[in-house]
Amino acid sequence: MLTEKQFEVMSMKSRGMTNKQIAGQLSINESTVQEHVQAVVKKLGATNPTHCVTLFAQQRLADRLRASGLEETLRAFIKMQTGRESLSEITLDDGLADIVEYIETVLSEVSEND
Amino acid sequence: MIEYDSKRLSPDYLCRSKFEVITRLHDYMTTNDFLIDMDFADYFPYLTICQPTKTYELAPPILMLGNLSDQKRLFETHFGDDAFPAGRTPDANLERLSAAGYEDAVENGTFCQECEATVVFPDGPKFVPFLRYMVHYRDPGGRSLIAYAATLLDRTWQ
Repeated sequence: MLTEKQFEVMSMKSRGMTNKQIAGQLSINESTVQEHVQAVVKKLGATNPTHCVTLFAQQRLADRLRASGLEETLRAFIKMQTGRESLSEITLDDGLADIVEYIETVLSEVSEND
Repeated sequence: MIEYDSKRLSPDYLCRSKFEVITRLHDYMTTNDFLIDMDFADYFPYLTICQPTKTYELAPPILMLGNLSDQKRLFETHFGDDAFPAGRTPDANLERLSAAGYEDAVENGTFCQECEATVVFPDGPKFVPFLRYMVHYRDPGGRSLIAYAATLLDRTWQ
């Protein structure tokens, strides 16, 4: 279970922000950002910070899709963008950060239209 | 100059048509009782996905645009530009004139129509004949959505 701050930091990292940018936005030291990331690396059993961001973003994406009510439609979109059948196969090199951001935008528009 | 004209078609027309993707999509949806599964991904690149709205003065906002869709081809250089609201095409008048088809699709499941329109782009108007097919479907997650497929017709309107 991540703390609120750890979740916030990882959300920003999964959107492609650097530690310096995150530190600036949260008004904390860059070293504190690194501490949060290291703590999450341990919690998720990741091998390094990049792997940690990938695992976090994949899990976050899966949770968002399940709660969206349009999971299969969004999976079709993701397959079109990445060529990947499964969310667990998507890496940062596939544009995972952009996909997370785009899905958040789509879900925000869906909520506005409700 | 014709601004907008249309001719409604029976979905059966699709079975005789040369528009393979639209024909297969129609068969897929009707066979599956308008409930999608993982095979939907095969059609997604050719589609535009919209969310049904309460009223249809305008076409519903576009949620997602397929990479191989004719809408993408048509609006590629303009869609999503800052000058246009999110999910909207550059031509608000066209969106108003084409809105009724979406409502029809939501009410009846499918809607098919041949259209010709003079679409206003930032760099000027362009005559566009096209066939559009819309299907109202359900995602297993619970939401109902509209899938829109169009194909540009390169022949002269009869």
